[in-house]
Amino acid sequence: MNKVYVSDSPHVRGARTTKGIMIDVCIALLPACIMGCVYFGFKALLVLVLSCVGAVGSEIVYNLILRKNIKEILRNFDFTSLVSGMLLGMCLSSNVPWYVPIISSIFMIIVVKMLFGGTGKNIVNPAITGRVFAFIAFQSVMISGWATPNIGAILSGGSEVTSGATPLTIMLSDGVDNMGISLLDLFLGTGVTGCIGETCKLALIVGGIYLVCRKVIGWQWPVIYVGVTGLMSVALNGFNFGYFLPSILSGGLMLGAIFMATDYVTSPFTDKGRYVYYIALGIVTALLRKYTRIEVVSFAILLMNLFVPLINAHIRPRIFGAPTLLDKIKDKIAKMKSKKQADKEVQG
Amino acid sequence: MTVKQFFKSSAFKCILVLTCIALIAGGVLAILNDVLYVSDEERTQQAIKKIYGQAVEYQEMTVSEEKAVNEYGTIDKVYKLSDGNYLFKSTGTEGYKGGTVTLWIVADFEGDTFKGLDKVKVAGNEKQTLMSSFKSSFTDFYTNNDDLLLEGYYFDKVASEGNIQNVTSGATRSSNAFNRAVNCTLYFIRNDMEVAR
Amino acid sequence: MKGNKFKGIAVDGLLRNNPTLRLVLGTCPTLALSTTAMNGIGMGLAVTFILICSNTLISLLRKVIPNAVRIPSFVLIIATFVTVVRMVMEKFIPDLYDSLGVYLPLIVVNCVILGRAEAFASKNPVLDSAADGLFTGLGFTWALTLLGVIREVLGSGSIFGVELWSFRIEFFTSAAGAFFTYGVMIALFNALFAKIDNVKKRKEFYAAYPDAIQPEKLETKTEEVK
Repeated sequence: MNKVYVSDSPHVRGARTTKGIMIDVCIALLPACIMGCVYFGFKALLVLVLSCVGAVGSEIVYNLILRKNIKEILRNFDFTSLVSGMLLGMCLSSNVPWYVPIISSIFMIIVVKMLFGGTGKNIVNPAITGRVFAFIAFQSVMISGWATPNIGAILSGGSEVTSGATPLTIMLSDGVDNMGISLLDLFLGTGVTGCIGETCKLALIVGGIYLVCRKVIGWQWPVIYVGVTGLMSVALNGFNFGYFLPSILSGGLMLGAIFMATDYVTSPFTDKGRYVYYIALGIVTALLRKYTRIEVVSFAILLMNLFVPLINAHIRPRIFGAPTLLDKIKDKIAKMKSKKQADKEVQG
Repeated sequence: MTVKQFFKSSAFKCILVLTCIALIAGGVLAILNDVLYVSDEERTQQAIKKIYGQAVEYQEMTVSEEKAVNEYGTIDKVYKLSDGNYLFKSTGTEGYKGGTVTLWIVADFEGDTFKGLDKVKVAGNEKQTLMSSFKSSFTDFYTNNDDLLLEGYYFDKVASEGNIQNVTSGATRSSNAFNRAVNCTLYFIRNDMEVAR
Repeated sequence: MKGNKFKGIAVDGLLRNNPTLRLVLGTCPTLALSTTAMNGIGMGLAVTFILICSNTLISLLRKVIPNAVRIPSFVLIIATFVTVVRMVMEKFIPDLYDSLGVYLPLIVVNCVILGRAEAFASKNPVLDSAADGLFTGLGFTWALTLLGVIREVLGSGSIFGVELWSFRIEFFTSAAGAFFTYGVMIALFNALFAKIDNVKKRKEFYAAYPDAIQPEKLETKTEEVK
């Protein structure tokens, strides 16, 4: 007797899986992580590892509590929690105590992702929310000082990491002329005070180019976000073009634009919607930066994530077979023509 | 409606009930207010008890108009406490957005000599937004440091020159107003107080 | 039986109709004053006292107050009691008065008191209303205190003012932490309550119908198709 297989669509699948895409993102994050460890030393590696272990561990524990067996969990493991863990680790400073990455990553995975239904069902980006949680929950620890790398000492084996204010806060409170750090230093991240993964912009851009080549993200979206932020901050500071490059290259803008704002689950699903989303993101980031004088990329992305369902509700994708704008115009012209002819017949 | 109808209608009953409740409640509250009245003096006594940590007799000293305002801010009140110490309420200017910070400062006095600052507590502020970031570790800087007893002032930020010595991260200008309130008290103690030298 | 009725009212006020966790009434003071456990107890006891007084008086007057003006009358009566409590507190317990701050006069429009007055006191005799006021207030108090203990232990590292350790997660003393902890508590309490309710109902059902088949005892055969 022949066997009949019953399954639902899709029946033909492409080669891309969530796992594959997430592994690509992990590879793209590696250059920035390596540069972060080079600048900030062994402590940075510890923070990254703790964050990843916390994220992956909490997902596995949560699934175990839901009474799935461990083999099924490992078989279905898509690397989304690993990516979230890495991103969260890169957002922390290297001199945070050990419990900060662990508690933040547990909160991030369990509350933001698993309680809402798992992969694909979260309403806000987990890494962003983890960062915001760490910022609010451990304020005294995080605000007291971002680590400043001292590359000479690290290369020679010492671990001199001092605390200071980030270039972004100096720029926002004192103006761009008092920043005291050259653009090249900002770009490469040497001697820049800040989080582990955000300081070396070159590494982030290399990762971004890898993602674009592997067709994981579109190239225009980070460019639009970063560009609009720069232009808005130029406009808000009296059209002083000296603000363009420093405001792009300081703070968490590059990391947020390339890796966090482009997350599939929390960005609109139509191209038109995405244009609206990223331009709005740029404007909101620049505005909030100027008026609150702290690093706001994570808060801006969180805010706009909450607007994405609204954008999705109003900017709908075109249904297959429904008339496009061109078809509607042709229809209207045809109607006008037939009306003219009917008028002529009545008269003539 | 005739008068008789009005007196029987439900509208009248509602008005009557509400008026009765309001009158009775008002009467009860008026009596209780007299019994349980808290005067201004009691309030100040309690505020001082909270700051100083124990109940003390105090005597408010008059501060003349010219001496109350100096280059760092204003002295609002001076209380002489019964164990010889003085309690100042001073306001420092040049904070965030041009606002001010007001502090309660207890100055340790042995007889007539100024020994140092005992307690520093926030009394209020104007237009400052990050007052919650000032933890006790910030105010300990003033009470644990005896270097500036006789002369010198805590540096403040004047037109982006100079560095404030004690700064709360992110609240530079509020720290400035804080510093100036302490400096205001120090200036008053050194120059305008008839007692201390 | 009278005893049974009071037991029913007690269980309702403390568990089944818990104003904070089941009815979700009076969330404004709940979120604002559960930063420390001491605040929670203070607020809860103030609300309990006012609940008992206002429920009793409103129940006494329930035949006199016409239906059209019942809400303004209730508010007047509650406001009188709140003012009395405020004056007594300011004179004799100034510390608690300072920590409650503006939320003490806000008890006038606290939905717990107005809700119980409307739903229970205006329709039931005096002793029942007083008991309901007492147990609803105690339900409010224990929920608020538990919330306060969690937030204080995790957020300030102390319990009832006694410092435990220096580790703190400031998230829990902030407003965001209040909403988060409150939501998690409601979810857990309702889940627990539903489970216990379920077990009780099943027991009652199988006690009433002893011949009914219990599902666990059925033998089923399932074949997995590979």
